[in-house]
Amino acid sequence: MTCTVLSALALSMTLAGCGGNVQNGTSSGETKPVTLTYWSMWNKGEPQQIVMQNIINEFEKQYPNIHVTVQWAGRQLLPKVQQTLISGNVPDLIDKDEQEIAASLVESNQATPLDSILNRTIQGENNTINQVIPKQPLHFYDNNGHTYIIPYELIASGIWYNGSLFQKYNLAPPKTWSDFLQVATKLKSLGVAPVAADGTIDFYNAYWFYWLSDRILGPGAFLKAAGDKSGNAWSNPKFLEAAQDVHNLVANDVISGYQGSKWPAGQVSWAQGKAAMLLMGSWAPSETHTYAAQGFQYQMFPFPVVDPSVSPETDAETYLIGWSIPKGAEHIDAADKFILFALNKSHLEGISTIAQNIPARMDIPAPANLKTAQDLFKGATNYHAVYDGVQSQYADYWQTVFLTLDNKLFFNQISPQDFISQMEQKSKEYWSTH
Amino acid sequence: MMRKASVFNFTSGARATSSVFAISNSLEKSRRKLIIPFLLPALILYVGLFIFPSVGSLFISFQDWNGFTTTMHFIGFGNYIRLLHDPLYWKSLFNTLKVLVFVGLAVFILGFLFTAILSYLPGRKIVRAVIFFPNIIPPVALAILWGFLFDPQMGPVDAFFRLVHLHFLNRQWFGPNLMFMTISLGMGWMYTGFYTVIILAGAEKIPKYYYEAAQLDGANRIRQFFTVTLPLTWDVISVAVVLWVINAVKIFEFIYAFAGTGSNPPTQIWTSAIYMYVLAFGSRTPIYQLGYASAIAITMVLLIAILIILLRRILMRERIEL
Repeated sequence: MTCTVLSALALSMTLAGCGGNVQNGTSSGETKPVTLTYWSMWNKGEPQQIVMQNIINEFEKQYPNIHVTVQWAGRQLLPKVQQTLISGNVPDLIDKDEQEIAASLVESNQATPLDSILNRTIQGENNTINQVIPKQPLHFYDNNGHTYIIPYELIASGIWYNGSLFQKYNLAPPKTWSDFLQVATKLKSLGVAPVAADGTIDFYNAYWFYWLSDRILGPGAFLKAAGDKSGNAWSNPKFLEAAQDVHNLVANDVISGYQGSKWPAGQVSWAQGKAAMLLMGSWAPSETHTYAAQGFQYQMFPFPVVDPSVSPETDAETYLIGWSIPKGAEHIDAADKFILFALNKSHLEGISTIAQNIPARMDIPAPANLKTAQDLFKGATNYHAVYDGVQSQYADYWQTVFLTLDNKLFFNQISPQDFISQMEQKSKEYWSTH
Repeated sequence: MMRKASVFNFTSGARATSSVFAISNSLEKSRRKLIIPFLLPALILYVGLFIFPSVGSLFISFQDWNGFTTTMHFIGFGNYIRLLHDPLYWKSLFNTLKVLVFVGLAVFILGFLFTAILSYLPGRKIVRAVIFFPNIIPPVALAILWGFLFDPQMGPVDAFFRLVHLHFLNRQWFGPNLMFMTISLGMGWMYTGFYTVIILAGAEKIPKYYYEAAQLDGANRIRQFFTVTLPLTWDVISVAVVLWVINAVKIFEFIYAFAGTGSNPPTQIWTSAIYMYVLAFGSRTPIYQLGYASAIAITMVLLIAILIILLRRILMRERIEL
């Protein structure tokens, strides 16, 4: 392993030495045959890969002079792009979670601005990108007034539940945090575990504190506290309230017995009806439907509201997957054409019909399982980044400081007061060396 | 005449010897000429794939660099100074040392035990193949299997304890308190076969008459193991220990695969290798601190080097010829 990483690192260095400055991309002519190099985050066989492959096939028919060479690079795509950026042989188009592209390519000024295509008509339609993708998600990761990423899939986290189980026990999806706790209490009295979790995934555990912070303090507060170099922002009593709420979930057995649950055991347990609810991204139905109990009805409600004045139900989380063109790409024009082609309604609807996810275009109906999540997007009055943007803006802090302590809180290893005081102290220590 | 002959013989012998020397020298010269061309391909590969990356890593460890730009910022020993104040680095290093010592002890104790048993077992080739089996399966697949075995809801381990009414043994095996121990147990299971096979290969070379002599002297099997097997396989054991040190510091896939979603495992089970990987390439969390990750890589190489030097000294024994 050491050797492999060392080799990769040194290879990068060699390339850095040999590659010289990365040149700006040039447009490929329409008549000249070109090869568009597309690196995708999907693995071969994944539903989204099938959708993209279908789009590529149609695209090549529409533009016979453009041949697409695609590499299904998987989730470790960005380290691969990293090396090509130095060698100068970059792919023309990539797709990945937007917060990761923003924190890497965009942050390093290694992405091509895509402002010029926002007002161009989508292939085969009269609509422009600006007209079909909601403004806030489209410009979510803009940098210095430029757009670098065009989303094609939206993800939102919320509390998933089995509609038929709620009907059976005559339960209504809770709107507020106190309603949620009442539902949990009733479920416990009926002998049903209220909430399932996969405790070994720390960023799933972190959903609870992040959402409670958002609902108690409003969007942006968690991000601000994470970036506070003095650590004092954590002394706001409302953070303690959020920590206390997380603590109570575990201490009162709302989430019980899942500390050692290794993914996907917890979500399997939920889909099989052994627990009533699951706080998860909108990928939950597509990941669990193969082992769901008979008659399982996928339903989702937004994270319960605590203080509607700071974070109402219509404050939606935005987690986007989109395309970007690395700086130095050779065939920018062909990549633009591909984006405009793929965003065509009939092409992009595969994200809904085949991949069972929510397309970035709101005029494409989401799968029935995700209708609530899509409605949430449509009716949103505000969008905030997943984990309030802490994961992408302060990635190292998120991973090494926050997740470590949040796990301890979630596993009831430290009290809410200790969590807050350690967040203050560790944040201060972290920022003193960064 | 005799004398003459003898002189003559001596001279001719000298000539013969000298001509043999001459041939030998010329062969030696030719052989020497061949050394470089024969060594060169391997040397090029070694320098290109090991020495150069190591030097490259050392160079990068003095830089602040995210890998996405051609510009690096020289920060001297900045990354190394940061390591000194990074609690997660020390925690990860401590976990690495725990794996090295505790899993290592378990692996070698079991390895000796299996060697002692298998040396006398009639069907030992089959048993050896069975215990070696985890080594030919990708660690990622083993991690998934291990996760399934110890799953508190559906795993057969807890199901068995419930079946035999040993409820007090039901545990959150992957909970925060036991996760590292459960994973260590898995690593022990995974590596025992490999080191047993190495030790066993050494033990099988010991001539049977040593054991027969020991038996005649009244030594039981335990004594035979300590007085015959162990001293005569010491060289092999020393090599196996060195291999283990290198392996233990590098262990990665088995622990990394425990998150199961292509994401990072919880920080409490990170080893130095995991921490280095997360910082360099991340997963879902875009950290990309290649300079700092290189500094960790360098400390890992130093750790391996120091441990090997120490162990070679500790394990050095006079070689016993069989």
